[in-house]
Amino acid sequence: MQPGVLAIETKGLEKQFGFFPVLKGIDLAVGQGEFLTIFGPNGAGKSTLLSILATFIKPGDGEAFVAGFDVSREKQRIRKLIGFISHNTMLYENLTAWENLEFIGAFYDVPDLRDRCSDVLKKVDLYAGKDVLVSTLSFGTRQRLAIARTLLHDPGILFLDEPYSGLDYGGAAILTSILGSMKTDKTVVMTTHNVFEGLSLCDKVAILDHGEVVYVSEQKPGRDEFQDTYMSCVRSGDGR
Amino acid sequence: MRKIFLIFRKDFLVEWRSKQIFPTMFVFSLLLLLIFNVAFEFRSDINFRAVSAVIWITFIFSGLLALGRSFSLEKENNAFAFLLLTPVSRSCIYLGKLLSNVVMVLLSELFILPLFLLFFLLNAKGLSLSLTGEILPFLGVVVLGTIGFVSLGTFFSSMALNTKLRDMMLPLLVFPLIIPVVITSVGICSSILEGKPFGYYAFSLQVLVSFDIIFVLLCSLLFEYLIEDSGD
Repeated sequence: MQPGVLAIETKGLEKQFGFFPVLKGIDLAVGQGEFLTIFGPNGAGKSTLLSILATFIKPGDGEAFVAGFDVSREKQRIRKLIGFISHNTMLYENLTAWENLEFIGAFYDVPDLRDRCSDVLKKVDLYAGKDVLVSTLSFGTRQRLAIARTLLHDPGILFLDEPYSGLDYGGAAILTSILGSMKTDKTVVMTTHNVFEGLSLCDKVAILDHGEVVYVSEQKPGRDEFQDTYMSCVRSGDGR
Repeated sequence: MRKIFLIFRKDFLVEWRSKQIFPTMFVFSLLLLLIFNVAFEFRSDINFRAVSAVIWITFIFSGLLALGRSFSLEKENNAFAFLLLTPVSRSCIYLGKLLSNVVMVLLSELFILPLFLLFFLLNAKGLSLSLTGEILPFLGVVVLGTIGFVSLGTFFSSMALNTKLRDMMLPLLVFPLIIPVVITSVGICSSILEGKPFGYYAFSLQVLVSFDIIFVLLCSLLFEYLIEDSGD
């Protein structure tokens, strides 16, 4: 990523499914190395926003840039730079942990792929279970494997879509520790409902409700203060 | 090429472990051949055109079963979505899926053909099977015809993936478009079984090869637009 370029920038970003508007003019800017947490109730448009930035779906009106590249026209360049972790692990159940990593790593042209697979598996403490089929792993372990897979090509920008959903306390603690270790050199955008987890790592926060950014703070707010702000911002929004 | 092969290898590994597609295809084909055999009253004097139609109907019905399942396996756990997130070209993904589907369908056809021989051709009047005269040309047409219908089937099964009625949608989308491939393949196969010289069906063979090239090229080019979100 070129120095001085915003890691993520959206200007008046809109998206609608059919006649139903999901994003209504989102303006966001995230600098390199920043950790932004986006809070919001169900149906606020958080996952749609991340899906657009991760080039899963096309944007509607407005503009969105990742590392200075346009998400509509420069998808392949963006895909090389980003990683995506979701509450859905998106793993092949009939492949082993190692095979999942090797398969995906090959598409990123990761140099010394086998060594890199070993490294990331050790990082998430899964190396001993590398030959175990994914179908036999617990959800928390799958999520760790999904994190390892995302780190394979060492992406500079990470999108985390509700990564804590479905994780037990231990799994959430491991995820927080891994994310904490990555925080120094990566730009992270995370969506979550969970105020405690969401605030623990972030540098800045935003609240999305009914497809609009209703609150942005450039600094990490205190938990109690933010909880009140969050409740007042989304009080009228009971989700869709 | 390496990335196409990786998708092919992954699909085979998944199928080897799940054993969902291949046994289903084989049993389904066996039942179809049995039903046709009973319907034809176990006669060995059936005309070769009808026999060729029987084998192609069997191939296509069992093949579509495999194609529908092939993308359903990708949909489970949304693993296909992650593949789309990687910087691999969409044509490469299509060609990888096509290669694994073609090989999978051809393998099942390899098991079906001896049964077909047993049920319909063993006692057929006026049939002399020689390796170069009938068997190899027949197998060649099977390969070409299979590439033709699997290329379209792979394309549309990815499209039907996100529809609620995907099991019903796939045959509805594919059947009308594969009619030229089926008619040509059936015609060439019956000519081969009737012992016609190569020159008699050479033009049809050219047509079949042309269909294959057009379908594979067109589908690999359009695949990107098919799997991308439409925007609004």
